[in-house]
Amino acid sequence: MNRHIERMFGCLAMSVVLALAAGMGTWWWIDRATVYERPRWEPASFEAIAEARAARAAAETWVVAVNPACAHCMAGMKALADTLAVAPGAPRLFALIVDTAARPRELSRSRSLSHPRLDGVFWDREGVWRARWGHRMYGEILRFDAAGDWIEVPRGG
Amino acid sequence: MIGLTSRFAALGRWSAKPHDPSHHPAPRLPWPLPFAPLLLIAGVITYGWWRAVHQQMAPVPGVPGDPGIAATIATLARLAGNALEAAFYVLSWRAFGHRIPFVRLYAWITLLSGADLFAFEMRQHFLDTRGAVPVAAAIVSGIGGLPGSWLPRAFHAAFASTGLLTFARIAFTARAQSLATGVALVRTLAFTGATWLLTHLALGFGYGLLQGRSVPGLP
Repeated sequence: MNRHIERMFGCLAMSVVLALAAGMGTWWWIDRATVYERPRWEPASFEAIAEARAARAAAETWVVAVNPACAHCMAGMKALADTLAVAPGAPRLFALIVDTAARPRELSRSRSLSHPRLDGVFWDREGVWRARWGHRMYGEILRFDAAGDWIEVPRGG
Repeated sequence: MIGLTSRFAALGRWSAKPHDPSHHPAPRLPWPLPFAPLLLIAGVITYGWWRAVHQQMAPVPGVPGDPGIAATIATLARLAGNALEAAFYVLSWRAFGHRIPFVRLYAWITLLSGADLFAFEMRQHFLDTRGAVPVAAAIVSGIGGLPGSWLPRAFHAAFASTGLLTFARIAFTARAQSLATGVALVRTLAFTGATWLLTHLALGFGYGLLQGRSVPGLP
């Protein structure tokens, strides 16, 4: 192969790595500089798609962000619901269905979403979780106090 | 950039005259091992990766999917990653006017991935038996075994393999390039180290973007 073409390919390979790192870094920096709302649990912001059971008094509300297409996070939520005690003082547990364009149907067939330990299932129709709160990981557990204020869990980033 | 690469190539080269192999025999990358042991050890390392991933993907109740297939895909992806790494170094050194035989460098990189596997298995051993990785073991096997560090979570995950074994792998990868090109080890080490740093930074940025403001795991 022509030496100049070889050099060009070599420079291209190095440029791709440099551009990848620079591009990802810029994108990450822009994302970190974006100011998102502090999460707040207000059921009115979401659409209830499964009747909430009788309101229980609890010091905390735990909301698990799930997507029905993510089998792993649905299983994780079920495991959490299995584990959580129902003793007084145990947190209320809600499922928040995120990143679903159409209203989720056939929920009664889903074992995870009809778990008896769940205090309710909500649909994030407006994309609050992703767009306004800046959250992105399915299966994460958001903790709120009795007033609906977010309890921040320091996890180093 | 081509002009810069020419100047970089001339620095530390064995031969006084670039592109003139008549003065010295052209540097040549040897196979890391004779062929039969090479295949055997590469097979053992590849199986080791498959087994490691398979153990990580223990079936989760309610989640469909065969861990065997997932482990096979992950292992093939790792082999492809080794090939990509070898191709990157081959192409990059061509920009500097050097030729590295791709298959031989691929064999080196595949064997050296055994160091990563050993580090991974060491971390898992301590996590399974003690529930935590001692600091001394983390220094050898990588910071990923520690519960956290001063790094943000995404970067702690991206740089999980940072430890003495990884540094040894980087040094031997640089050594292979030095043998193949005749360029001084310090330069190939700088190039390999910079590549490792940049790719892992990109990985950290990617993890950070995937995470967003989420706080994964149980509180």
